[in-house]
Amino acid sequence: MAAPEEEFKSDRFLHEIKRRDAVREVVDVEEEQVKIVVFTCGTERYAFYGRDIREILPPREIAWMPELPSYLPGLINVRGDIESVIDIRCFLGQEKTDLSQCLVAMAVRDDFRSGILVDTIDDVIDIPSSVVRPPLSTLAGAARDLVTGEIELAGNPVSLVGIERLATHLTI
Amino acid sequence: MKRTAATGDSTGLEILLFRVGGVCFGVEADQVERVDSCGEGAQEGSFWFHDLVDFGEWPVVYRAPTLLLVKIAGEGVGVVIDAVRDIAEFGLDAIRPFPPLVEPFVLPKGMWGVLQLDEEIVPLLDFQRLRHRIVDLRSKHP
Repeated sequence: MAAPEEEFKSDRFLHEIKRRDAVREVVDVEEEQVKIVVFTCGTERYAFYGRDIREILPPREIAWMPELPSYLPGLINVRGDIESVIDIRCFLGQEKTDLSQCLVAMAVRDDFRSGILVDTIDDVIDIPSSVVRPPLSTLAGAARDLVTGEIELAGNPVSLVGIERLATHLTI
Repeated sequence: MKRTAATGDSTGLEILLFRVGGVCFGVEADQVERVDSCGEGAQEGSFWFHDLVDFGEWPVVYRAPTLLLVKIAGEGVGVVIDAVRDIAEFGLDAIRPFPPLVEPFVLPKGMWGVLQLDEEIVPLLDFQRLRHRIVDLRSKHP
């Protein structure tokens, strides 16, 4: 009969570490994370889902075109491709500022593709999808159509603007 | 007026480039019968470009008014523009359609594509697409 294997103190530590890792993996699998891009528009902070934003472009010249509504201030050249830009402030009730200072978030979702003007990009973070709450019922106007949820960052509510909602709003 | 070199695409379009309100536009040169200086009264019976294409609140000043005589549905129509900039030939590869969000607004208003000219994005106009607008304007101001 074989002698029981000696258990070292370090074996207990190793076992505990592996147990904790296994628990963490289970948590990671169960808790779906979503990437969000936090931006400012006028005086408020908003966020897009990161999966819908292909890149952030620095401020650039926007070629004005006649016959376009105010929420489409013109066209931009992105490495040889001509893209539309949306002034989302028109829908979020924010005051217009100098367009030439705005960053451009390139949004791509299904057939929808356009630049969206934002004032600053504050953060790109991963959050558990469970912390996304339904949008505030106090939202008014077009913002109510565009906002898909609310999150809290540093104690402040941040509205999640859905690109699919924006696409629907603009193509109806 | 100068002519610039063609691009590599064998299917070339000769484009007349002109400015209105500081915006550069292009039109296929075939649509333009004549370019005239715009003297006193020369624009009588003609259309100011900004009456055909709505500039909204965008400031439009004609520093060097010039008359384009364009063929629309076989009829000669005068259109007052600001200065002609150039006539040049471009391959189709230099022309892009408007982005999908923009096209529904501009195509019914006569603009069918954009030309990338150095750093400038130039809307291309088809005066044939504007004939209903001209008929409409003439009915309001016979």
